[in-house]
Amino acid sequence: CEKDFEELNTNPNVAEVPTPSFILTNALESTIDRQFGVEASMDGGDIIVQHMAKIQYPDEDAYFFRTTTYQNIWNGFYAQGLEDFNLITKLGVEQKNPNYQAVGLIMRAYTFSLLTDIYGDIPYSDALRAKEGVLQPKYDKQQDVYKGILGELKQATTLIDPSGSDISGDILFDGDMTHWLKFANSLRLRLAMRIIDADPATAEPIIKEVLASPATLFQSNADNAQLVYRSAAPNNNPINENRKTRDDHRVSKTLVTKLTALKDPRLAIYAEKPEAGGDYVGVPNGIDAETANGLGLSKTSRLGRYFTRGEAPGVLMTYAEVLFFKAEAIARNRGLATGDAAATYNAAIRASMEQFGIEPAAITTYLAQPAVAYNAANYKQSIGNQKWIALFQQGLEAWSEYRRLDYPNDLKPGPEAALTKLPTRLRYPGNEQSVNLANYQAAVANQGADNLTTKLWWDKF
Amino acid sequence: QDRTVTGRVTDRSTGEGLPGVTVLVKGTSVGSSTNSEGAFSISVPASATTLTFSSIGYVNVERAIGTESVIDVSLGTDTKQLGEVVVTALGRTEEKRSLGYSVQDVQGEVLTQARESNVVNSLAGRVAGVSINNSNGGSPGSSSRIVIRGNRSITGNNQPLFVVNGLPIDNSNFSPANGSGGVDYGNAASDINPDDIESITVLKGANAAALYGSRASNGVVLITTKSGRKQQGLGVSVNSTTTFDSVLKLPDFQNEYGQGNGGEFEFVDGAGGGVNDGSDESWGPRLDGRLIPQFNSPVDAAGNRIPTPWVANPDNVRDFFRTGRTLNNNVSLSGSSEKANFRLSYTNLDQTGILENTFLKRNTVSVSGGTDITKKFKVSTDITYTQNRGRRPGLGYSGQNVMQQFSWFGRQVDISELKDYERDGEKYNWNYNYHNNPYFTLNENTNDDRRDRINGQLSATYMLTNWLNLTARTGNDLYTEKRQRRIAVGDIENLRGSYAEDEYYVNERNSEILATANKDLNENFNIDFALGANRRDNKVERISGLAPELAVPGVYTLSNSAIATQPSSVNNRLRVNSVYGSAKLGFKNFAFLGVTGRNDWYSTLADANNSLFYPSIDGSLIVTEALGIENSFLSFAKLRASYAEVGNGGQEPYQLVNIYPFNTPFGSNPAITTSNDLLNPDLRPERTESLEAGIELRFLENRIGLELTGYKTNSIDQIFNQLVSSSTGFATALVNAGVIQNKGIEAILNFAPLNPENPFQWNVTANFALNRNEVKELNGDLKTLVLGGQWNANVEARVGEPYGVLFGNGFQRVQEGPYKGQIINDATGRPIIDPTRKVLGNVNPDWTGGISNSFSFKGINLGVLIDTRQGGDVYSVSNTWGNYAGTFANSLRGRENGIIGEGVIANADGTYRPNDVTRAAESYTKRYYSNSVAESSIYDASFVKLREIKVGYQLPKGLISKTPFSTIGLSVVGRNLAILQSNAPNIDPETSFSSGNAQGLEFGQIPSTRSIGFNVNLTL
Repeated sequence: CEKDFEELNTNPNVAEVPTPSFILTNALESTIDRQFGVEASMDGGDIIVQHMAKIQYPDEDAYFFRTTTYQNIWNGFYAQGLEDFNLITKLGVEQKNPNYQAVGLIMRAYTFSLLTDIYGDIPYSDALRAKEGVLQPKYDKQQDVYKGILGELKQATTLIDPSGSDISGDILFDGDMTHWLKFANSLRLRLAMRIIDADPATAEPIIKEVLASPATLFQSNADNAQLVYRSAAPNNNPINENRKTRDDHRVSKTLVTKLTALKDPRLAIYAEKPEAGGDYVGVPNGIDAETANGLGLSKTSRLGRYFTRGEAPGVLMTYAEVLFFKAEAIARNRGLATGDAAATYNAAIRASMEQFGIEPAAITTYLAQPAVAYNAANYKQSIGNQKWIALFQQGLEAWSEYRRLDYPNDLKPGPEAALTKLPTRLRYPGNEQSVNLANYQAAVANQGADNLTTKLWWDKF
Repeated sequence: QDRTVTGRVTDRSTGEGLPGVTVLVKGTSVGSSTNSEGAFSISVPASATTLTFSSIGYVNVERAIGTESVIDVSLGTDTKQLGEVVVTALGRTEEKRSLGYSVQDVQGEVLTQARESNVVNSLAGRVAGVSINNSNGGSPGSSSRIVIRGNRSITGNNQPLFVVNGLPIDNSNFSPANGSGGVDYGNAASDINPDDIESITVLKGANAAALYGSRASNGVVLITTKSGRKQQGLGVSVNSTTTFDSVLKLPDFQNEYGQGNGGEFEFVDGAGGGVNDGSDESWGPRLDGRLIPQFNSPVDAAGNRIPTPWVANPDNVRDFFRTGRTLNNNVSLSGSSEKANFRLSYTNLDQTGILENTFLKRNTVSVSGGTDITKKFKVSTDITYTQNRGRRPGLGYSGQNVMQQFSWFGRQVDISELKDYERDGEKYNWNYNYHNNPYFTLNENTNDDRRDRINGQLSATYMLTNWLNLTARTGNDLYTEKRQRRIAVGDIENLRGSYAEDEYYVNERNSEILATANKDLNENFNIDFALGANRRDNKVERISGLAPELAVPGVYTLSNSAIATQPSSVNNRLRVNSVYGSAKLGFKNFAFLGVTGRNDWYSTLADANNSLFYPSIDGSLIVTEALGIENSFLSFAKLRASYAEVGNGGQEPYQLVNIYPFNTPFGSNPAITTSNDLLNPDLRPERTESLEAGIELRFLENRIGLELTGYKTNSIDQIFNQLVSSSTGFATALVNAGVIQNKGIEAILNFAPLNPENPFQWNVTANFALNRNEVKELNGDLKTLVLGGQWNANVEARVGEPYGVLFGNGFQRVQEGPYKGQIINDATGRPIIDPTRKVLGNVNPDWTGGISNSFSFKGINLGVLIDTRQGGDVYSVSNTWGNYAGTFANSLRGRENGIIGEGVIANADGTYRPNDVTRAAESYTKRYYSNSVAESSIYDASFVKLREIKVGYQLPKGLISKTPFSTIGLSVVGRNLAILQSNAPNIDPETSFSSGNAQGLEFGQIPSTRSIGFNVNLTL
């Protein structure tokens, strides 16, 4: 009675064997799409740090984040990104291609860092083990997540062999393993710096190590880690795709006010002038729907054309960031790096401006302003304020650095907001309470209430 | 020594000869049937003692043969549907009295007068324990969900198997609509043509259906089609129905305030250029005739709009609908001779929807015939070709659903101004920000489908002896379905347009051999026996293409794409091999014991799990006959009980090995990804254990009949994709776990209060069913499974709750003290939404029922059917947005003076005081009906509907004797005439997006329709 059954039940529709290059392409695109998608950035980091504001359906701008759609962040990063990066790491081992293994590890670490910086404690050591039967992963403390991913990055740097086996399907760096090495080390700098207030013993040796070999860090904007999208769907930038049918976002009034005060030439890149004419008009964050509607879609500033193009890049990390971190490392004065903090700070601003094609003369004029000049008495103020500007459209990173440096120190929730200060994390996605309750509860017990204001472990101040 | 008995069978009430009556020598398969005059002739063995006479719709009669050679019999009509021969599993006919489980019949004529184009709907209210949910009444050919005795499978199929003349018929509903959009292309069993149906028998649940093994768990709808057997010589009949369909219920809109926000509106460009003119809400100025520039205001030479009076258009939504029209014409030709019979039928259905440019057209040709090649060898065949063509509206929360913009809307909009949706080559609309012109959507963004289907079979029977038959049969149900979905350039959601095609190929082939035997073992014992084997092959293939952006506007072909087209293809196939058998022992025709067994082998499962055995046992006892009770009060009493174990699911191919699906390439880089669904190499089928017992009673010479059934089913080893934390790397894991229990009672009451001799007759048939359902267990500590959802509520299967509860966000309420239970408002006077989700409702009804009254007097018939569903909840997102957007009448509250909302406000010391803060109505209402809360839009879904009224007149024979017609019947018919009771505002609570498992959700349904028309029935 079972003749031909095996043949009948062989799936003719899909691959049952994964090819690492094809997996890599998809995992990179889907992770970066997710990072710059509606929930994590457009209605997440970008509006939380008041780079952007909503003029229609402003619920999220008042921190009413819908549990159903915000589930997408968790699902996308874990099940569509990490599972595949994890697989690439394994395939790299199996197929004896350490470069795949390294790329898998770097992207694993990067994606885990996004997740932990959004939520705090997250499943890490137990994560991605469904095939071993782990369907309810425990959450790891953020400190352990950081230790783990910093270790993975270090391992990746030792595995990378630019003259070794080729990798393909690499839509980020086109298989250039030297570039991956720079990204890994730059990322180590970022993540170590993130935890420096909470765990200097772990952070400081790493910072020292990577700053000691600048050649293995980003050395110019050409090194920036960014996915250059394509002009046409479905490979276009998520913002470009969103703007085809939605017109809910405007540049924040906070951003317009600050950039106008500093005469910052990046404002012309970041924002468009209102369609109905006149100078830049930002929309206040966290106002009610009626007020927002009343401002007029054509009378307020949309996001700059630079970012709404189909081929606009999705930026993972920049050279400017490396310089800001270096400046901070010098300023902290704990022997982490040598050099001139002010000069490095200026170089960081210059790198940011060059990233957007600002003319050298305009940069010089800008840097000459007292309001821009480095304040040696308060490095956090100078670096925090300028990073906040430089990290425009890198919403998640801008939010993390705002939480860590606490500058700009005058950001206030809007009048409709449910909070009195800016959110310090997002709530865990609703499904965790349904499908992983015990571990969720343990995480909450460790970290503090699952609300928008519990501080993350690294967020000491 | 055989001898010949002849005679004539007549209808007891008319005295006319009855054709097609089965005459059987009791206890054998020796039989004959009557000719057109009711006459029969049968050769009976010497041992024969009794003849049985049976005909569907009549009470069976038995006559002792004795020494007589002429036996005349008159049959009484069986208005109480008791005591008849019924069709049972595998298409066999059995005496209903011998069955140890519940079945219920519906005769073909109730389907063809006041008709439904989807035959499933015709069962509503007629069969106890069968619940029907029609998804979008106003969309021609939309799907209907049928569930018998509750849901048993968490994520698998909960609808019964459809079987036509012994062969299963596909009832798929591919890519159904849901809360976020899509199109309802109907359930495939809706192809079955009511004009070809002789009768429908509903095998309720596992016990009656046990012989179907792995497909028996949800019961079976057995359909027997008409044949030429009853027609001696040549007969022609014509059946024609015309109905007009109008909107049954629309929301109650407000007509006091027009478009805008905060009481202000001025149109410049309809996209935010004017004061609130991008808004699609009706919180604008009072409709008091003031002058305001509007979308349809004239424009002066300078290009400025000249303000026009701001007035209400109360019927703007109603006027958007037209009267739908359904024409159904059937002509059939049938005939038989002593050795052969045939029937040929053609039916044309032509339905236009209440929405412009929507329709359903169906042509059905069916042929059936049979012949006795020798006395012992018979062959028969039936073949039906169906061609379905539909154009259907978009549904759900989507710009393609024209109903979406009526819950949002400018209440002042004059809809007639929108009919020309393009003026001077430009789009013309009341809003250019969120919505298409609804006429644009209907006329330009069409969803067309075409299904061509052939199903039929060939069967041969050889009578080995007078008690043993061998039958071989093979049948196919094959269709292709093509869908074409156009989005025109300029669409609000897809500016560059798009075009998609899907083509399905579906085929099920069954080949069966079956031996049946019926033998009197001695005077007292009779045995009925069947043994069979079947091979089933299923194929489902799909090929799809999408041109995501059109290069050339208005050209709809896949190659017209500005960017990469997205093709995909799926090929699924599976096989199930089976052997099965049944045996029934009868004692003195009043006690019966039956057993059945079936073993199925699945190609879809791993070797260790793929052979499953499904047994059943049933018994019945006619108490009145066993005890020799004969009195005028109790005419008949029967007890019955049965137990069965059957299967469900496990018949999806390729569920064992993890997969890496293809994604859209990035440029020239191919992309594949780990599937989000973790598969399971150890999968087993779901299993249902079902216990059923019943009692059938008839009183006062059968004038009152009562049938009571109780049942309990446990469905275990559920197959479902368990939602897991995505941190596992997968979104779901396929598991075998969980238990759902259903228990319930059903009652059927037949009542004929008047003496059968009375020319005025009144018959009542009432049915009642109550089912209690509980998800007893899922998987370990897994507490819930999401079946579907929209906005802020899910439909979930939660442990300890009924299958299908609404789970979502409500308002924060006071936990204790004098204000306990009241809504807590924030300091600004608006309710606080509780971030912790909870159970807000249950979509299952408490009970369902129907009552059918028929009256007849001298050829005039009146039939009235009322049915009800009591209890159960619906999450109505129409009510959420209609109130949020200020278009529904409820939103008028406090428009001028503000609202002090219900509930309390927290004091600083932790106590509460009644809310004392006045909020503007717009601000308050938008919180109360915010998209972050579901509680405010959950309603009791109970209803009582006047489902059908039929007034018919059969012209007297005397009047038509000079015409060529032998009968002429005329009737006036109405379906879904009124909602007699409903507690859900603004909507018809009997509604859903599709026939899927996630019921109890509503948004922007195409309104259900009231149909009124007439029927003409002629025979030559």
